Amino acid sequence: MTISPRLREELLGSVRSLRAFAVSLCGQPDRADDLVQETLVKAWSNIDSFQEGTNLQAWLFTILRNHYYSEIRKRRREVEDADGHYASRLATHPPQQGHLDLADFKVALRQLPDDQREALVLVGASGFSYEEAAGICGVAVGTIKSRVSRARSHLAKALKIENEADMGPDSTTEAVFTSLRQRRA
Amino acid sequence: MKDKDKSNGKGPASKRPTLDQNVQVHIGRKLKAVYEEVATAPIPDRLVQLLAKLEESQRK
Repeated sequence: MTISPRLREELLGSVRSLRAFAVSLCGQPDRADDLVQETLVKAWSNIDSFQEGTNLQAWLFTILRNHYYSEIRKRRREVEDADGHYASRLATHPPQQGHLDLADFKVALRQLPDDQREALVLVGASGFSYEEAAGICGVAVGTIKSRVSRARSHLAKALKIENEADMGPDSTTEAVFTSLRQRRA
Repeated sequence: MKDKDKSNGKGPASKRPTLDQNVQVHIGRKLKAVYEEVATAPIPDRLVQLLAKLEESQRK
């Protein structure tokens, strides 16, 4: 197989966003890196099936997502977890501690149903269009739109920010700027 | 001339109330901040090594 230099650059450049997406899917940094690792290996060995000029990032996200869900299905078959896998995952894997201001948001995000969270992240953070997100998740565009909207409503309710007055001073903006500055540095 | 079919805005398709624009922006910012926390972090060694290995294998 041959990988053009441009494709290689793009592939390497996608690793950071793949990690961020993987963490949003599984909530565990270590497992997220496993997912990224397996995704890269798969992508690399199937690179011939990728049509250069189409959206590499979307292709990689699709591989990672499919891999994640097929693993979950496998694990469910292997381990009949009577305690409910989702609840225990929430309880034993608190979100990464970071900016204090974001802690509540992370908890609320983690509590969203998986399908809503991934739709919201793909569109709201990874920068995919609704159409691209629909392609990645293998559902209709309308489904993605409604998942995103339900996710936002859930978050607003969980964070009790259903109107502007509840939002308070926006220290998050500062956090975003900080991280952008760090990225440029 | 007849009035055009005016459904008075509230058709059968009237959905749940959409969130205030500012709330959407607020949620969007937080979401990006959470995402960027990971996306701007250094790539862990084992992934760096894996990438090096993959590139190596390509040269062979």
